[in-house]
Amino acid sequence: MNSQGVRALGLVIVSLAAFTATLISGNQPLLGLDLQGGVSVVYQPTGNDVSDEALDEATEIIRNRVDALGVAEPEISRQGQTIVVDLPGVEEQQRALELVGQTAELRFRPVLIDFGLIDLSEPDAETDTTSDSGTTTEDGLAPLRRDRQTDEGREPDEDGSTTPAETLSPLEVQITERCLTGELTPPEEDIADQVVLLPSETGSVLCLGPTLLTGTALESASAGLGSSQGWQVNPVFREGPDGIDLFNQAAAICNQALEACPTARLAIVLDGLVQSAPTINSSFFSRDRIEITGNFTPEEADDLATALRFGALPVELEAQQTRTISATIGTDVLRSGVIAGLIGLALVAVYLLAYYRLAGLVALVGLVISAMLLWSIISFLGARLGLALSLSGVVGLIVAIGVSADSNIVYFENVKDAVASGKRVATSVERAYRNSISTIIKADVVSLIAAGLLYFLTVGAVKGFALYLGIATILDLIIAMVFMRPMLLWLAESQAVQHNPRLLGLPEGAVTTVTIKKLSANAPTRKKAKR
Amino acid sequence: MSLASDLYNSRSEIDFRPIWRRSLPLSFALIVVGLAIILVRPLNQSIEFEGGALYSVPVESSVTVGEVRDLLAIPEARIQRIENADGTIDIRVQIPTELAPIFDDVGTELATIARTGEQISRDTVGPTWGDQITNAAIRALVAFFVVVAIYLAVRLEPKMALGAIVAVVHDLVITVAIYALFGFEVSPATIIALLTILGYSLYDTVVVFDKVLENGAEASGKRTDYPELVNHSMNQVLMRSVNTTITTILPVASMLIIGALVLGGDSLRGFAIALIIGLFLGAYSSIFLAAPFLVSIKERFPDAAPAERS
Repeated sequence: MNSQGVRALGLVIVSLAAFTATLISGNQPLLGLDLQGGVSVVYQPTGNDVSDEALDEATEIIRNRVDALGVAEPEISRQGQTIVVDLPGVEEQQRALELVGQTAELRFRPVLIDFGLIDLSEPDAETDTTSDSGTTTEDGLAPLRRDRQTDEGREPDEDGSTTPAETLSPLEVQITERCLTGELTPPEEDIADQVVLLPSETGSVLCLGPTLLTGTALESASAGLGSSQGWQVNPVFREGPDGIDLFNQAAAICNQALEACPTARLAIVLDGLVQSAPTINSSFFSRDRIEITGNFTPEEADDLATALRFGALPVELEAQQTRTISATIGTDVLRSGVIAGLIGLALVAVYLLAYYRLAGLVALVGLVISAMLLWSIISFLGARLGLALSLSGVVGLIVAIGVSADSNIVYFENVKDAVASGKRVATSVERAYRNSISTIIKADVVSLIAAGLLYFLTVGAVKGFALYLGIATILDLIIAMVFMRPMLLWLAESQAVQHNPRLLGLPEGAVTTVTIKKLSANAPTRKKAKR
Repeated sequence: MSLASDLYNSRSEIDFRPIWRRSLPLSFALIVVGLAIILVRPLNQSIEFEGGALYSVPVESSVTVGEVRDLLAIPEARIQRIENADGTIDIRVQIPTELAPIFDDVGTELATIARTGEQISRDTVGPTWGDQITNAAIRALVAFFVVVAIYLAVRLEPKMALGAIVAVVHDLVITVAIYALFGFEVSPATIIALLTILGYSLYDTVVVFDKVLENGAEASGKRTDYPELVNHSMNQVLMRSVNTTITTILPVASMLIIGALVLGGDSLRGFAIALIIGLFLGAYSSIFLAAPFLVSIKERFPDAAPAERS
């Protein structure tokens, strides 16, 4: 077997292997919303000039929220200036939408108790300290416990009143109710002025007091390499009562380790996730002289600075398009799409076989290879990247059947031309390939340009269509270059075709083994007298 | 031998030139008429372009439009009763974007008339969204034309690139004009179909022109008559054009028929109508517009030296 044959066989083996592996691994194409039902929302920031960074952060926040909802196989992607959220088969769609679309707020909350990395089923105050404050903290529950032991119950709360009837202060009551239950505060109960139990980036769990100030007090933030303590983050607060003054009030509370901030640490919380909880070591800061330090890696410092900047100017999202597709409609569309595809494929097969006989078989085997590879690629994209196959993608694929058949038709017709001009069948198969592949490449490149531009310049359904059209076009190119010629050549040289060229859809008189000199009735340059 | 057998064996010698003398002006006339229709008759745009909310409610067959209208009591609502192929009835309600505050309430009310066990589907679209996606599509389209024109000018010939683009514009204008004329709904699916037509139409034309180049290269050195060359090339690729069009239309037609039979509806049909119109136009325009257009600009503006790029 020659090298062409080896490559063709290699392609068949690769596609079979990929398909088998996909079947064994149980990967299946991930179906888009329009095929299985669910909610799809396109969000766009209100106001112009939202930075790429802020949009990326907003996308990340939405991703975290959706993960927290426990939606299986969500698809969240930033597309240009929009964020597309696809939640398949969500039960309580309204609730999901409300949660996902909220504006994320950056909140500064005092750390009441740091449970560290604990098993939530057994909140144990004796576990160790936080990992990202950099400074060690004392046992978080200690002040609380001291209060209880003194049994005074007269800790002044915000009104300055006391609660003689109870042994616990209102804050302690809240702590007991909301932190010592051992359950993280769900997103809808994450209210600014209440005590909450939230996880941190590093996985530890913190009991946090009511919000002291929000991100709007911030002006900006940057990460940089500090003089002594390695990577650090420098937040800059706005001037005046809504900026640095608010922060200094919070700093005073924490620095003195009052009841409202017994650990002296102030947590920076973005959308229910503690980004960092540094210890406050002064009660007065100037607005642009604040350093957050603590064994940061450059990435951690960057992430924190990004979160702070986002908090300073939170992206407000507006739902531009919301689609709710019931599961019944989705399944109906999928079913008819699949049936249409199969019938279409069968019709194409019958036609090609009837017209081109055995050569049609080459086209069909090519289509089967393409189908196996596509199934594998789409399943892979679904499993690894969460990229779903939507209705528009299915249409792209059905369209690709035509494109793929066309490459074969271009080739076969060229072979016929060559045979008609009196060349041997096997020679024709070789000669025609050179002309055909150049045409096929030109035409496929045009398709790829279309797919690429559509993919990068549009949003939503058109993007999905472009992606799958592009993939299918590349596969068509590979099959045309690797598989088509050796397979046809092999058929042309087979005994059956040698005896009966009509099997390849060629005219009866086609020359097979012997070259007969014959004047072509159809030479390309022949001039006709009529005009 | 019969024409069919000639065609089958690539031996046909149809003289396209007399046909071209009519089809070229006809095609340009069609473009003008198409543009006029698009200007006079506005397109029936789907909710994605207009903004507002669209509900689709599966109901019992006894439910009438009047009942729904009374239930909602919203004068602006557009209410349609759609009978699906399997005999079930859907009520479709569309509400303009100004009524956004009551979108939820309408959904709740409509849920009360839904068949038991069925969900209602709801689409809402912001007022400016349609313009934005339209703009994105137009940007993509313009970029596409520019890049493809450059690519074809380099790989084929600049005049061929022009011919190919003219043929594509012809296909797009006429398809859109047919949508305007018959009031078919233009949805994002239609846009995708239009973009596909673009690809097909170019593909067809590229195949024809590539053959012309190939034959031109073989005939170089000899005195050749360009119309004769194009005519001959056209004959050679004719069956290819016919067969390609048939193999592409088969799956799309099955999509149209199955989509209509099983669903009575919407999503697939949106793609299929535009695709079928466009596929026929693409095959027509590569044979009867792009080719004669190339011949006519070659005659009017002869190449300084025979271009022999590949």
